Amino acid sequence: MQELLVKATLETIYMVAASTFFAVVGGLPLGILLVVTEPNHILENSVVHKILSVIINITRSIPFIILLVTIIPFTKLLVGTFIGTTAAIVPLSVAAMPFFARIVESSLKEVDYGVIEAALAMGSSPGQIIFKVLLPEARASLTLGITITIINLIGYSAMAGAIGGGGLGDVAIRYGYHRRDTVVLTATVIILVGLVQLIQFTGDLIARKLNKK
Amino acid sequence: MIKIENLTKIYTHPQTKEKIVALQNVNLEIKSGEIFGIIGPSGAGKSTFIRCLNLLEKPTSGSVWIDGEDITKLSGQQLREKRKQIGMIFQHFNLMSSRTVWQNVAYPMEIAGVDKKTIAQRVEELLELVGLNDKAQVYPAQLSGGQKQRVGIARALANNPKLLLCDEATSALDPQTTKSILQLLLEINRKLKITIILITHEMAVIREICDRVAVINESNIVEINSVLSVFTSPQANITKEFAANGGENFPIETVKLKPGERLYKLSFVGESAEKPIISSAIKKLGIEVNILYANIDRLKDIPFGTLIITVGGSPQQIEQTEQFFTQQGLKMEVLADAGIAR
Ligand SMILES: Nc1ncnc2c1ncn2[C@@H]1O[C@H](COP(=O)(O)OP(=O)(O)OP(=O)(O)O)[C@@H](O)[C@H]1O
Ligand SMILES: [Mg+2]
Repeated sequence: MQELLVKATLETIYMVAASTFFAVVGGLPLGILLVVTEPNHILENSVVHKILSVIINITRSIPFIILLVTIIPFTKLLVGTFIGTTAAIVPLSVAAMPFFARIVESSLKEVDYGVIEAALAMGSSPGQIIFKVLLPEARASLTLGITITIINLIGYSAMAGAIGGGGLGDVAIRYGYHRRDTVVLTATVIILVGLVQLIQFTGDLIARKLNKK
Repeated sequence: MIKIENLTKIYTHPQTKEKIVALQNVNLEIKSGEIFGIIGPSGAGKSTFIRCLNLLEKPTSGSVWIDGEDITKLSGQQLREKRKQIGMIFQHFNLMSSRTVWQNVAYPMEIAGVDKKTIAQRVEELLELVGLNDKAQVYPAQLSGGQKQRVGIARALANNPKLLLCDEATSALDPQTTKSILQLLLEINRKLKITIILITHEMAVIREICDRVAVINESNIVEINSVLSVFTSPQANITKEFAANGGENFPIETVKLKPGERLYKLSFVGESAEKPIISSAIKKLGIEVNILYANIDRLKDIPFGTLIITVGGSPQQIEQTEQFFTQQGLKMEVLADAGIAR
């Protein structure tokens, strides 16, 4: 049983870590673009803003389990198969990317516009505003946003079992639900709770360190 | 030198498309090295005006000439370069909370591509100038309002600007801190020969450090004058309200004049404020004087006072007194006259 749980934990960590990475790599620029193209912001552009917003809303409104199945052709194209742990990373990333983009958006909107104006008055370019003002000023809030995204992804990853992705959620359903093995079920729940607690604790700690307000 | 020509700014409400005229055909010239104040009531267009000077707000029409260059015609990159030569400080300081005091002051040089060694040297210099050497490694959240504004000033001076714009820079500070910040601005103006344009709704600020002042009301400049003139002989009604020093509200009608008495309002400026004019008039002319109201203020370094007095005596004495006051350089206004004594 121990072996089973260790393997499942590692699978969960692998799926969540990889998809968090892709969610941040994709979602961060999307979120930034969403904010700076707003009316009266540094790169105001209502067309880009509206298109992005619509795409993000559409992706976010599809339930994960349905997304998982819908994008099978895309997954196949990317990793060659739609079954397995690695294949599960694709739908997880696709689901988390727009979610994280919205989180970035709200974090960056918290930055006092007066500070941005001061930077503009000093002759900052849009790039300098983004990288030297917006992101550093929002760093604590962004850290908490990443924490929420990771925890969300742990939840989503439980459904990866549907396409043979494995992980803790898969074990809980197969052993705990189908075979009524309460010991395994309890063990997976304890591991999941511990994992979430650990991530939340670490995220809070880092955010507190970064927050100078 | 700064020259503003026919500056107009009209805001359009994003939803209702309603137009708001914030500035209408404003013309103004500001000399190099002066401290120029702009005063006006809330909503008059002061912030809009000062923000047009570095194009944080884009004018609807008109031009803004700074050192022979119309900044409204500059491209994005050119404008960014120009802005590096214009410092600005704000009512709410607008410091970056994620940067230390040192890093905040370094920011404008960082983006101007100044090398690290020069930045380090200059930050020390600037913190020395504003008196915050010991706070270099502290974050803005741990500073008082006055200290935050000092950081704002140091940051604004980082790239050696020739022009400093101040948007209500002391409005969030208590009177004592306001004084110390204004003194710092005056010192900077004198030491570094920087032109300072400041907007405020407090006449005390104008009185403390400005050379000239423009009074703005309902999107228009209604009066431009030296601070002294604005206090001694305000023209527009709104200016009179701002320049009120208490004497204006003196209840003249309650004064019962005896026959042969006149009620005067005297304003005295500079040296004459320090001379014992009233007592010499009494000694010399043998008149009777009753002081009903007295106030003395300072305009930058010049003493400036207001007196409301009654003078009693023969018609001849009264005439001599008036001559004497004029000779001594007082500005005199007869508020009431009881007629000739019999
Ligand atoms: N971004 C904006 N959009 C629409 N109207 C604006 C905008 N900014 C200012 N206004 C309007 O323009 C006018 C002038 O505003 P401004 O902020 O320049 O006044 P102010 O003299 O600085 O006032 P205060 O002393 O209250 O700061 C006001 O009627 C204001 O409502
Ligand atoms: Mg204002």
